[in-house]
Amino acid sequence: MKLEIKGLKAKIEDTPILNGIDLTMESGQIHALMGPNGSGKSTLSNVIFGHPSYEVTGGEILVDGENILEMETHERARLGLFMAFQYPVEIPGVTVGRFLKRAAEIRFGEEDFKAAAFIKELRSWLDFMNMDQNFINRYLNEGFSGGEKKRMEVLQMLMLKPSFAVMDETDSGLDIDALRIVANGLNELRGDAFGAMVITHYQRILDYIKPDFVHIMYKGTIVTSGGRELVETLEERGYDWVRKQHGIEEEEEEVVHEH
Amino acid sequence: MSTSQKEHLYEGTGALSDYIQNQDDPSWLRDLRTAALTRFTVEQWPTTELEEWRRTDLTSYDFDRYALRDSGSTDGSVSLPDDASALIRFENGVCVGFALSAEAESAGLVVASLRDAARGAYGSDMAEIVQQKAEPVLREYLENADNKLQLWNFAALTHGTFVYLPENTRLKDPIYIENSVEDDEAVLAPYHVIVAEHLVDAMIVQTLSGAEEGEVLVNEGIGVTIGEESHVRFMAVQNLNIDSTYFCFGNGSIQKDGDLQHYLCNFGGMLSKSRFDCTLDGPGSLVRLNGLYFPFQDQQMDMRTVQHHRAPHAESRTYYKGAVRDEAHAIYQGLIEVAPNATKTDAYLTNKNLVMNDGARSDSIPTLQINTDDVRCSHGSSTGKLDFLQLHYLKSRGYSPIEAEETLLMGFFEDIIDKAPERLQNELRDLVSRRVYEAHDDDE
Ligand SMILES: Nc1ncnc2c1ncn2[C@@H]1O[C@H](COP(=O)(O)OP(=O)(O)OP(=O)(O)O)[C@@H](O)[C@H]1O
Ligand SMILES: [Mg+2]
Repeated sequence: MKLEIKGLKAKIEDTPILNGIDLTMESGQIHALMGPNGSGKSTLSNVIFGHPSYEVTGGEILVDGENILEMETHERARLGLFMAFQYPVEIPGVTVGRFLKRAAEIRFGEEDFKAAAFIKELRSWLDFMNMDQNFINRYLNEGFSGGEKKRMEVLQMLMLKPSFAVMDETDSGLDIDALRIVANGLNELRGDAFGAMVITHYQRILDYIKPDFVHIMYKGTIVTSGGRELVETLEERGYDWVRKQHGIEEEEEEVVHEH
Repeated sequence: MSTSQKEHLYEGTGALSDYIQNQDDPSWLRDLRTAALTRFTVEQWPTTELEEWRRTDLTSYDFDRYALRDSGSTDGSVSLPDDASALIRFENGVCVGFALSAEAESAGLVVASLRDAARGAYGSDMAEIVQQKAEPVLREYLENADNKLQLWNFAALTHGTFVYLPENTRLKDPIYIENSVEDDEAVLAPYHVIVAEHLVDAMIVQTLSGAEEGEVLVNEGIGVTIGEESHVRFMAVQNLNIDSTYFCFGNGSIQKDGDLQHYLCNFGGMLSKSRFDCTLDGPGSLVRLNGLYFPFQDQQMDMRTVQHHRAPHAESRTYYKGAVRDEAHAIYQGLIEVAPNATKTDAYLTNKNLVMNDGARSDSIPTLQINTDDVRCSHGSSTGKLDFLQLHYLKSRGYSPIEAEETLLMGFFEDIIDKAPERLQNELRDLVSRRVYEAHDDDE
């Protein structure tokens, strides 16, 4: 799967948040997206999934050449896109088992769906994620701790095997063991048929994941992209370094306007 | 249904007197019915001036339009499913048979057609038990009847069930009472009596369903008494077609340390009005009244619960949940009433509504009447829409918008549905699901 984001602009209510994002990602690649709080990382992920609170004001998002901005959220998901939410919602009264069974049926087709194989696989991924088997019968995310919610997102990703996943701060709020498990989960899927954009504030998870590309977002644009070395520079010099570089650009633009 | 049963015994409510005289009831039952009729004749139909009827206007209702059929007598038989202690089935008010498991029978359980049992169709011993156990319940119900519909139910009494659970009866599987109606412009007036002695543990599932076509009026009465330390769960599912009318007045009385859980799952009827009035008569008694309702199109459902505390240290919980869609209107009125001697009462009532679209309405009217100190009583109600973030989450996993809606509704009702026996759980989920999809079909 090839995901191309071209000149994407979006606003929430009347506030512009994304100011022209260009990014091309593919299955087989792991991208890391970093950036200070409020720079628009979650907005970008939400716009990819057609979240109703955001309005796209320009640009396009292509999946294998097809513009998905016209599609409804579930149609985008059915292409093989997956999002691990930064703040997964609680769904009372709907058990994890029932919820995931339907999601798997949708993903892999009702004809090919085998309930026994599904349960077996679910049980083994629960073990892998170091989660109790009784999560199957619990209501989705209800009363889960912050870390359990994050693991549940990864568990779903492992079950649904997306072609491309967006993981929004899945590592935030995780203890060190959980962090390793989440990274292992992603590494399990890694291969030609799987790609991901991993949004994070921390180098720690990237040490386990080893992304192929790193992008830095600042005030709604991608200000710089590179390889893994970018993470280290950022870790050493902080966003001040980004700000300085970006700040200069802004001033130059303003000078141009004055003429 | 045979043609003879289709004959109109008489048309409308005016000829009830002849009708009662023509029934082969024992004299005690005939006397009760005649007493009901006497009051019925002078009573007016409820008007919207009464608080309970403020939102359900019957003034333009033509009750004489509905004919009373000959209720006939028992014939045929039913086979008992594996997961049932007993089953009794009525079709158009005719008892088509009943069956009990060997275990239930040896425990002394009685499940029979009320009127057939009362007139001695199953022997004089049974007739005696009915008189001894059912008459006081019926008499009290009649004494407390406060509206013409209840009196009509009693005078017209087409059929009913007598469930008697002797001391120490503990049933593994539920008792099923099935009522189905396939008729037009007909009235049915069933009354179900459930008497549980001490130390009983049982579940009763009562279903009322109708053919897709045909207008019927079902005016039902229910009387339940729960003995000391008995636990009874009573689930009622009402699924008449939406051209029909449903009235239901239920009374429950709970003795010391007894426990009654009542569930009303309300789906059918263009108009329905129900009331379940529970009296906590014994110290330490417990009542839980649960409701699930989902009106759509232009259905109106008016439901009332009463938690009537008459003894100290008793606890009651009402938990009514509903969704309304299209032009439907749901009304829930809940009353907690605490008598002066009912100290240490712990009572709560909750009503939650999901309004699915503009044009659908739900009214929630809780009332507390507390006549003593030293109680814990409160209520909470909420009315809202489906959460768009939850919908979005499900869609992000590939759920279509309608599936997402269905899933959230199912989740909303789950804590009521999961109290039902498995077979009924599937039926209830199916009813909820059909309502989601039917409403969408109509949009298109
Ligand atoms: N409902 C809203 N109304 C107004 N502004 C909003 C709303 N939701 C988000 N924003 C703003 O949009 C901007 C981008 O938010 P976004 O959540 O995309 O940032 P982020 O990069 O994911 O930050 P973080 O690292 O803290 O998760 C922020 O300034 C935020 O305050
Ligand atoms: Mg964010």
